[in-house]
Order: sequence, then C-alpha cells, then structure tokens
Amino acid sequence: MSGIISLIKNHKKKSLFCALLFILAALIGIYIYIYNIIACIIACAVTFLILIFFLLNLMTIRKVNSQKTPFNPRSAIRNVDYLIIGDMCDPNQLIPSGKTYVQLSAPDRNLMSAYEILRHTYSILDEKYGTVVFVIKDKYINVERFSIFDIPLFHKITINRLNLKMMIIKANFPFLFSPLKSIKLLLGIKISGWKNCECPKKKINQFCEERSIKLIYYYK
Amino acid sequence: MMKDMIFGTGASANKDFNGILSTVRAAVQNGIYCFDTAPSYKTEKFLGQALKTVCQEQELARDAIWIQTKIDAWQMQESNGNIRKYVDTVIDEIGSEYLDSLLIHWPIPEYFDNTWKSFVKLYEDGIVKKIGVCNVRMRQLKKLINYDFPPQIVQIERNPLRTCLDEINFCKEHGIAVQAYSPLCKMDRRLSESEVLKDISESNHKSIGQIILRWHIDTGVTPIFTSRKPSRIKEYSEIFDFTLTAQEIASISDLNINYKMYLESFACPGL
Repeated sequence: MSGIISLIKNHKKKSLFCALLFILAALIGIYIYIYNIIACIIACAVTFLILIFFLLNLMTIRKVNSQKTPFNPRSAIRNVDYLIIGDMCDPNQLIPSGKTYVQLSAPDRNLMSAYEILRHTYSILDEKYGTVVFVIKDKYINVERFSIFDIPLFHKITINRLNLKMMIIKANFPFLFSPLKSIKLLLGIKISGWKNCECPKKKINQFCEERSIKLIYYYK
Repeated sequence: MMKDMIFGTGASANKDFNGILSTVRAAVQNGIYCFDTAPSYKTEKFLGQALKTVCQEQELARDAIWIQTKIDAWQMQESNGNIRKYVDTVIDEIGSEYLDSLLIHWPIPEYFDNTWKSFVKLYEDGIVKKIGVCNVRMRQLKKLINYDFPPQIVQIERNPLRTCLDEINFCKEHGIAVQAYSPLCKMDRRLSESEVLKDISESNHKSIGQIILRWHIDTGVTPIFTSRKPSRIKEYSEIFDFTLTAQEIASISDLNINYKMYLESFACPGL
C-alpha cells in the first residue's frame, strides 16, 4: 500500500491522468449499462475530446516550461551570443549562422512582456558580446498585459509585484484560456518578414546600455 | 579561530537536525568555526540548535563561533525593506543575542535601498557585527561603494571556471571581504577531469577539492563549502599545511570560462 502511495506521490501528473481515464471508462460503462448504444457513442466522443484537451494542454505546458530549462543551475547553456525574445520567428533569418542562442518566443508577445522577460534572463548572455533580439509586432508595442506564456519565466517576486497570482492558475490551463495561441505554439508556426529598426522604448535601450548588452529590434 | 573557511548549510547540506549536528560537530572538531545559513535553506533553527549542542560539548563561548545569515527576496518584498522582525526571529531561533554577519541574499532593485537602510540601522544598534550583499557584479559594486555605508562583505558564486577577477580586485581595493559560494562548482567535470588540477593535486599530494579551496584562500577569498559527510569536512579542513605557487594559482585561474550555475537575473530580476 505504501509503495502505491509513494508511486502516486512521485508521479502526480501521470497518476492524475490515469485516475481521470479510469473515471471516464467507468462512466462509459455505466452509460452502456443504463442507456443505449447511442448514448455510449456520445460518451465515447466526449471522453475522446476531453482526453485530447488534456493531452494538448499538457503538451503546451511542457513546451512553455521547456523554455526555462537553460536557466536551471544544472544547465550547461551559458554565455550565449544571442537571446531572442518576442513573437514566433525563425532564428536563422534573424541571427548569423553558427552563433549560439536561446529563444523565448510565444505567439503575439508584446513589448512589455518581452522587456520583463529580458530583466529575468539577460544573465545567460555572454557578458562582453551578448546581443538581445526583440521580435515584436507593431500592434503589440503599447499593449500592457502579460500572457500565460510569460508566467513560467517570471520570479515569484515579479508575480507578486505585478499582481499576477491568478495568472499562475491560468498558466496551468493554456488550452482553456488561450487555445489559439496554444495551437500556434504547439505547431511552432514561424512568422517571417521581420524588419529591423531601433527599439521604440527608451527604458529598454537604457537597460541594455547599462549592462553592455547589444540590442537588435525587429518589427512587422 | 579559523576564519579562512566557512561551512555552508545551503542546497547540498543536510537539512535534518541530526544531519546538521553531525556536520557542525565535524566542522568544529576540525577547526572550522564559521557558519553560513539563509531563510531559504531552512537550516537556521537547526543550525542554532546544533551549534548550542556542540558549544556545550566543546565548552565554547558564543564569541568562539561566527554565524552568518541572509535576508531573502520575499522578506525584502513582504516588509518593503523593514526587515528587523525577521532578524529578531532568527536571533531567537539561533539562540544568540547578535549575528556576526547579515547579508542581502538577492539584491532585488525595487527593495534594495530600504533594506540596506534597515541593515545599517541593525549594524549601528550592534545587533549585527558585519553587513553585506550577495550576488553582485561590478556594476552594482561601483554603485554600492558610493553609499554612505558601503557593504563590508560580498558573497558571490566563484570557482576556477568563474574567477570574478574584476570584482575581487575591486573589493580588495575598497576593503570589502569576499566570500565564494559553490567554491567547487559542485565538482563540475571540467574541474574534476582538468589536467591542470590533476597535476597540481599530484604534486601537492592533495585532492582536487583541497587544491581549489586553497586556491580561493591564496587569492584572498573565503570559500563557503558544504558537505554531508564528516570525513569530507575533515578532508577539506586539511588545507593549511601547504600553499600554492604563483604559477599554480595562475594556471588554475586560467581555467576561467565565466561559467556560472546560478544566473543572477533569473534569481534577481532586473539586477
């Protein structure tokens, strides 16, 4: 018994998933027993849809959280040449080939989010030659809100300071609260046609200047 | 009292009372009387209790022991820098009337100035003997040195893969003591398999860990090491019967690739 409990404790998500499957299977059984075959087919379809939803949700969470991996103390990724923050893009079109980079992209990321992410992540750049690349659609320059895809990259202190505690809950259900963006993220849709210009926000330029970070800004 | 080395109770240390007691006992028996903790390590209370036990066993007075703790980011934020209540609590938990050193763990820019004011007040009131800051780089040091009361201690991640030469020279110039956390870089393979370190280790008949700790001391930095094994603590304390030559120090320093385990900006946004 204690072995089963420890197994559940060690594999919380998998256990939850299995428990959910079991409940749904039991429900289908009850439907077949009580009602007829049509009700059973409907139940199966609903079950299938719910399962797909949970699966896609889990995949999205994993994809978003994987962006945090380079910042883990055990990670060997350090002193990279480029840090790409912003919208979905193809790094090969924006930075020279052969350079090391970390990409933190999410669909429709706005400039304010990108700046907050930069404040959290710039230490991964090479101290002398590091360059940050911002990739922001023009319509998102002045948008002042954070998305559920930003949250995993934020420190608890930032979440408290910006009053984003509710977003932590939402970030666990990206497919529910941001389905279209989740699909874009999962499919890895890369937007091309970015053009280079100067960063429109003074404080971002100043932030980079103070830390000797080169800043390249792309818009569309 | 051996002040050249500090025993840390951070990430890799024992967290239970008996574990802490055994390592603290081993440290004191091997001449290490300085201890480092922090609220986020969750070892403050047990360290205090273990030190009390060991002091009774060894008949040591409070001033024979040197205790350092920190103020964490959440405490700075929660109190908007008025951190006195946390210091009172930790002094109670440790069972002491004062702290030998108090550091700001992560200098979160939004709350730093207020917290530092509280630190200075604690120092002036004699509740804390030394005050300082962890995880700062040159840019912050240049700023801090212009404060009315600059830090007396700076604690940074430092090891042969990240020598922080500029920071150390700057601190030496301004009389700031430098402590190194993760001094062995968790024995990264680039250190444990380094031919340079293997050669120096063989010629001095010491382990690579001992060589690296000696390198810290010979370059004017106090390493904060930790271990769960009393035998390892004994091994690491046996580094005062030799010194490294200038050439050996230089070749160890040449291993620098500015590799850091803890990214400052990720733990301290906007630093």
